[in-house]
Amino acid sequence: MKNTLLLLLLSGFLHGQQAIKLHPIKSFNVPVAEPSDIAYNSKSNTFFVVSDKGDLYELSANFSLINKLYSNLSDPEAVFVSGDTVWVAEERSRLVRRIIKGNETRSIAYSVPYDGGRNKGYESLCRLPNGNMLLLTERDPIWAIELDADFREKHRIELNLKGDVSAAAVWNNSLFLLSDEGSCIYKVSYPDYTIQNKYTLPIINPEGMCFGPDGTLWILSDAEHKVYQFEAKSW
Amino acid sequence: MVRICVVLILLCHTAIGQISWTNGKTSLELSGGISTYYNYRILDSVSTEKDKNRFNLRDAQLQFEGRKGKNWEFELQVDLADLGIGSVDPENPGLMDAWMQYKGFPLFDIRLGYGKIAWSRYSLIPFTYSAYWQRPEFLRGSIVSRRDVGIELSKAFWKDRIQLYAGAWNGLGEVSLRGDNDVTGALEYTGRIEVGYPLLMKNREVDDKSLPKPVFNAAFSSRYTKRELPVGELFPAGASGEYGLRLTNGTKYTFGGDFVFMYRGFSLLGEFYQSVNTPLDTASSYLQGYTFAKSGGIYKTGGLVIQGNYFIKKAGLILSARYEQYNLNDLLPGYNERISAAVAYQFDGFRSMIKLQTLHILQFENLRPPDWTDQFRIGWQYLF
Repeated sequence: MKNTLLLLLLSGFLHGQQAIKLHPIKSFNVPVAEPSDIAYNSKSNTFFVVSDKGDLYELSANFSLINKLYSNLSDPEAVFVSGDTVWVAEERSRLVRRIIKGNETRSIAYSVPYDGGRNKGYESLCRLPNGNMLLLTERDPIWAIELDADFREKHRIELNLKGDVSAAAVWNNSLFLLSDEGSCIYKVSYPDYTIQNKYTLPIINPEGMCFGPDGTLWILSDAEHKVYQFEAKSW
Repeated sequence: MVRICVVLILLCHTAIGQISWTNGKTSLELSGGISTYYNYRILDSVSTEKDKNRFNLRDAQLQFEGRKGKNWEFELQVDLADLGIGSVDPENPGLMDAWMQYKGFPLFDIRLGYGKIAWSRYSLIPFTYSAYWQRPEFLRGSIVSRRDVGIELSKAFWKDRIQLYAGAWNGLGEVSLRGDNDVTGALEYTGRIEVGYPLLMKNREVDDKSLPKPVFNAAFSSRYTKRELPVGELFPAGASGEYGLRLTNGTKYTFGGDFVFMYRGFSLLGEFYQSVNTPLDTASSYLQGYTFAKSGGIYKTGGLVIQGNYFIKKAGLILSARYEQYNLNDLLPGYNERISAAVAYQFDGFRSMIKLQTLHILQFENLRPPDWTDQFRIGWQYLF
């Protein structure tokens, strides 16, 4: 019943509201091969980018390379950062790695089993306003899976978005989902996941998304190896 | 009837994605597809054989794709509809892929096994991403092989906007799966360079993403083999293909180019190639009795195709038109010309799609005159 209601709400939005067009104000080249997601750490004012090649990089505020933090990841597609800890979701191995920065960078792996398509697994990871973690599968179907701090599943809900979800981020208690195929962002409420706004992006292959505290939005284009910056606003 | 259609539509919306397994290090995915079409031909005024008016199970495919760590990949793909039927359809063979790839070397990736040769865009585009039921005639594999057993090296440059391929193959196409080479023991060498701006795309015909910026990709390919059979020896049965043109007793050099442009649902593709064949025997029947002074001891085979598509995203509808022209032997008068149109309706993306294709023969050369003028195909593909 809950799912049916959700589907009705989502489809009602899609057919009833106009999308808002966003235009970037700046773009930066990213010195990372096949970048697949980006996260911003306000504490260090740095960015964290994962590469399909299996590496995690830390970049400066102007997107120059600071260092390679971690290697030997298997198809990392999502990254989230908080303080000195970085979480990376590997799409095909169904592992989430908690990487702790320090004199010697360490990692702990959590297994989050999922039997869907190998290349349709976890592409999005963020922390929800209630402190739980959220993992989303890319497509066919799009599952929003809520987990506790040790990545034990609490519950999941199927989202009826057209296309895919390639990144997720939270800003000011609202959840934002990025669609690569749709070249758009959905702003959805939590915990009912109803769509509140849709923003279209003039960007090919947007795969990563993060916000600054002031509402600055950065979108990572995998194919173009670029980050696009959008004006700070109250979303 | 309406009720049946509604039920079918609802069923198609429940199409599931692939299934995969992982132990945290190695992952394996199972996927597949089934497609069936009905084919109807309008014969010319003198022909009476209507055996091509029939349903055809085109695909009954299973595909296993695997990956270990970040460096190893492997794939095994079979089409059960074509396994064990005796003859090999080069466009749609029983064994489609069986290869492994290592990506751990700094200079290049290496792929070893059986699979598609990187040389033609139309050949490389997965069939299930097309609105058509058939590739252009001269790119189906009857004139130049599409798959083989061998080794291929690849390397990407300039933010992956340039991709290079170089390969060495048995040169017998799908017939290489029998195990032995021909008596010459020669190999075929292939090369391809792809360039894309602002990005190099996957091999696709249709802009199903309605790209917000124009994207242009182009490629140049070539292949070379020299096979000089001893007197009295022949190429293995079936290796020369439907037209007897895939192998030349002598030297064969093939080159070609292709491009694709995509923007906001519109896409335009084009491709051409030419094979320059130099038979060892200057009195070869392929030279059509011309003197060496007149033919230079060579004959050429080749063709071109251009295709436009428009994807109406909201309706899940693909509209397409294609023109192709090919010449089986330039020493003979005339050439072949065909036009096609296709409409595809997506119930669930490419996973569940009805495809309708019409084909009309505008003209043909007398080397292999067809006994039909028009062909219609309508069918359904379902991927899981």
